[in-house]
Amino acid sequence: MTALDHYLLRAYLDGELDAAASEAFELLLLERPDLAEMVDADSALRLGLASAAKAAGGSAADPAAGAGANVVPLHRPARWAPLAMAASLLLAVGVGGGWLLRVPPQVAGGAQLLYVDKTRSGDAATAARVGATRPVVLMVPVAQLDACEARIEVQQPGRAPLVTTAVPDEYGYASVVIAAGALQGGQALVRVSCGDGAAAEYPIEIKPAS
Amino acid sequence: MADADTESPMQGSGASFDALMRCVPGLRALLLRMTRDVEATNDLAQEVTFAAWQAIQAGRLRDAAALPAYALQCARNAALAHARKPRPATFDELPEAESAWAERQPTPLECCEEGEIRALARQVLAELPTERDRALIRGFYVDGRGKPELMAEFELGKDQFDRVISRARGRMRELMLEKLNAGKRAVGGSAAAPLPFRSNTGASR
Repeated sequence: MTALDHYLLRAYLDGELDAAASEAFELLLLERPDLAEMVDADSALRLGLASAAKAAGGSAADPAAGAGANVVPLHRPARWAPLAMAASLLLAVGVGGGWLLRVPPQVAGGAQLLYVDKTRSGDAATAARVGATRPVVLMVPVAQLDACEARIEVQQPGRAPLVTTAVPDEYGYASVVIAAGALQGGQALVRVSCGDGAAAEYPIEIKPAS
Repeated sequence: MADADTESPMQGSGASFDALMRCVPGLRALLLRMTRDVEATNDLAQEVTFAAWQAIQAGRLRDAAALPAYALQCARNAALAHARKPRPATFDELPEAESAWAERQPTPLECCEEGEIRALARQVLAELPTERDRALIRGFYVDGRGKPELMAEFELGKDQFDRVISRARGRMRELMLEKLNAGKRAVGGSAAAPLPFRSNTGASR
């Protein structure tokens, strides 16, 4: 295939050609089995990965997990695999009084992801529905250029804070596990700090799952 | 009785049948892209191919250069019709053509069962070098997220994004070809397709 073929193929598959160019490429496709194979490969990749995700139990589950990997269903797959890995490596160790952020014995089976989205405004609370019967894997951004062990604190009005330390992954996210029922409905504040630096604060609105 | 490859431009000739068969991989690829359904693609590809063949035999398609455009339009119509009805029509009235269809060279994707496609896709994903690449592929193919959104999230330039996607597509094609070739080796010695075939409609005789 020529460089032009590759360019047209990619543009076609990514939906970047206009109607006339798409039709011209499709006519070319009928005369070029090698191009057809590439289009088939794209379709097969889509079908295969979707099928694997479905088999793994959720549209966003890790399709690569079918071979026995530790799987936790997530709604944001782009962040999910490192989180599951981090969770499985027992990154959370409780040190606070009263409540503890701790690692439940079997996280992977039914844990629920709570993802603090750093791309949103810090003033806007991320709403999350949290069930009382499943542990929660909490993923928080650690805004720190240098490597650090982050101190993570989850505060809720009228309750003792959950506190732990965790090492962020390569994407700058730290993963901690909260025991089932440890979060109650209402406002929560996630505070993340490294060393003596100022803490970043992320408001979360916890809504009991129906 | 004349053979089906008796020379007459685009009228049941062996050359026209060959030309039509050359379109099949592209037709299948287009149909799969339109329907996202392998079984429907199998049925519709036969339907479209036979429809085009009937058009050739009936003399409605005389210009060989018009064949791809005709087949493309048939494929679009078939995909639209498929979307409107639960099952595609079957064409069991062309037994000899069915036989020729079964003996043609399959595309790599046709050699893969659903479970094998899934396994190959997983392998492609697992072979990507970084978790970022895997997350990108999952976001694009599994969750159907847009290219601009993923580029922003992963802080990737267009070239970087295209490189990851192209690598995954290319590897998937390689794996499917390997599977096809492995299948060929496993059934070594099979006879070549008996082309040109005779039409049972008599239109070309």
